[in-house]
Amino acid sequence: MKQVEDAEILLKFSSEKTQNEAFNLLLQKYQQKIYWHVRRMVINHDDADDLVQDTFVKVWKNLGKFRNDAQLYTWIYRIATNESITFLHKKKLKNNISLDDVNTELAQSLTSASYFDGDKAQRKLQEAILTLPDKQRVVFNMKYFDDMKYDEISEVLGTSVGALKASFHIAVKKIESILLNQD
Amino acid sequence: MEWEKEAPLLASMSRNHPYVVPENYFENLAQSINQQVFLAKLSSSTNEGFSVPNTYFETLTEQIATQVALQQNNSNHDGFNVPAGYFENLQPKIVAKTSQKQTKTIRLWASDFSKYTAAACVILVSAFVLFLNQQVQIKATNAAEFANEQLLYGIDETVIVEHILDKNSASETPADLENYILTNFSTRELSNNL
Repeated sequence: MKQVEDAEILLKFSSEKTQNEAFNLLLQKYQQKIYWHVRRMVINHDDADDLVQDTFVKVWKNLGKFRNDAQLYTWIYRIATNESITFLHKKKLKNNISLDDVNTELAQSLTSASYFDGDKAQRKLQEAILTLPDKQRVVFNMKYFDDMKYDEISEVLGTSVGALKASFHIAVKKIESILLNQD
Repeated sequence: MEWEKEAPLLASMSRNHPYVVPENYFENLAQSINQQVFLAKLSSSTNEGFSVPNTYFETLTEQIATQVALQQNNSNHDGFNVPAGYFENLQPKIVAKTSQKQTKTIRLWASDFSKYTAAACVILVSAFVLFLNQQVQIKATNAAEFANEQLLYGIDETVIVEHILDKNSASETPADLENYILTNFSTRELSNNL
């Protein structure tokens, strides 16, 4: 199915008559990308489902105020990323555990999750990714799985390209080391 | 890419994520989100009709901070303290004082000025009375002398001479008469009448 341009979505959303149509077009275009982005962060499907819905409700509420100085999809990614990181922090506070322990818990849920269909190597990769700090994990996921450009990641996270490159480089070396040691 | 050279194992791995979703999840996801949006619309519509002044929320924090600071300042009373239970007893004390029958004190001399003015008036009146009294006495003396003189002037000289002569004829000498005249009459009177 041909995807609609962001500009057209925004134009339609500005009119009350075509607002719902525009929002449905936006969902069709971005819902899966955002879901996988969130899912890789929180691992659990049900948590990801809640966060995706929250993300798009926020998008709907604020789309009228969206300015064209940023790309629409990086703006949506930013909302989804913030929602995911906030969720993980709340989980840490709720369970009174450190972020490292949250990641350990996520790794455990990875193995017991119903909606996991990876092989042994993929599981090892995911477990290695979960050893990274949250923000570094986001950077790694966006670069490695979504193949996003550094400029785009920079727009999402509000971090300089140089810092992102360094962060990704460190993450790659750490994961490679874990993968090698496990083998 | 550079990182693929540094991490060949990672680069060789499949980049497909291992996660799966429930059947028809994405088909229903848009509907679920639209339901959430509808609920959000409903909850936001309950706030319709209410508005706040421009920049209300921008200045709200500052206003609250100011109010808190004022409250704290008021509670400190600038470092002054009162005895324990002072304010509890203050009202009954005031009520007791205001309900008492008060005796009204009127000062006789409201000020020193009126006191000195009254004293000056008394002195002036006393002096005036004394002066008047003195004048009356002087006038009475003068009137008596004048009457005596008039009486003397009204009597004929010959009668006076005869009277004197008769009275002093037996015992008084002319020298005595002369002395009498000189004693009782002035030179001017004698020169005017002789």
